[in-house]
Amino acid sequence: LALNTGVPFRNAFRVINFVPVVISWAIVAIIWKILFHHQGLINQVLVAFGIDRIAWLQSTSAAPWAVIIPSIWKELGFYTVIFLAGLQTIPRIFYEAARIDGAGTLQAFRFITLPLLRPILFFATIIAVIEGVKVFIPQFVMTGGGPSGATKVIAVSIYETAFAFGRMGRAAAMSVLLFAIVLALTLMQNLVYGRDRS
Amino acid sequence: VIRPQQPGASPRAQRPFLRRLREHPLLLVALLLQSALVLLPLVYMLSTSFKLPVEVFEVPMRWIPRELRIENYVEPLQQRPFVRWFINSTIVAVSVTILNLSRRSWRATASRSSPIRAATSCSASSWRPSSSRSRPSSCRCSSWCAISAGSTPTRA
Repeated sequence: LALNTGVPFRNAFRVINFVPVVISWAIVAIIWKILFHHQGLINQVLVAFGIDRIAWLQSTSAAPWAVIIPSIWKELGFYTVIFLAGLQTIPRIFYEAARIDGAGTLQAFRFITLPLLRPILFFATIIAVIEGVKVFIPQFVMTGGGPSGATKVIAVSIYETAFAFGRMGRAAAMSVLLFAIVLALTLMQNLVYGRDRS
Repeated sequence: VIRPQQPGASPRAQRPFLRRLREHPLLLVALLLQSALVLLPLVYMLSTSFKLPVEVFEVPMRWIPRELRIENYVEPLQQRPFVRWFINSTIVAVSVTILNLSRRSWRATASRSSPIRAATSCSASSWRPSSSRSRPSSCRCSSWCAISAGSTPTRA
């Protein structure tokens, strides 16, 4: 929403937000692995604020966050573009009419922006869920699925089953299950979205 | 009939810079902070690319290395088949782009002759807000588009 206002340097902010999207996942995972190192920049910032160092990649409680944060950092720009495209298709005349009727910013957001962005929200949610379920590279590069399986996702597990244990049949079956899960999630979202709209 | 606004035609975008600055000071600060957070890992990567291995995890961290190690850039180019890897990546990128675009243009062409294909080819536009949804130029059958998009048929 902020990037759709008349804020100065708007285009520069849009470009900056999109930069991580064009970087390869392997490079992103390496950058963040160095950042989350015990003596890396993030722990140095924590120490500067008087907080103890966190074993980001070795602790079972912190490791999931160590792979979630890079995912958000990388994917945010993509969804920003999707939402910006949606926001720009909403005719300004709706907001002008709402202002004349006495609606505030929050009311305009609640009754104009949000309903008209519903298809975009649906699309973004579907894509985000699919991407989230089939995520592989950050876990594989940063933690290898560890510690103690704390970041082992389905895709990493499939890879290990196939290429570390040589169980190709089982890995293929797991892949089919992964497809079924993604399909089920998408259909569920479609049902929820369709019911809301009707 | 409400027509969607043309991108970039916002009157707000054409206001003088200082006026826009006065209108959105907090938003500007918030976006500056957010952009700094987004750029930080990239600047860190750039800084690390000029460091010796022992300097990477130095405490406190140095943003500008004592000595810029240009060899980090020269060695991969000289000692590894970097050009070959780059050519491989280019082949993949060009092939994927051409095949994807040709598939899309085939679907757009096919949609002119079949309503079922039209519905399929129009589905990509279905995530635009329903209020501003208009008939895509490649789609000749509005009812099929509307069914594909999950809304009531629009009148041309």
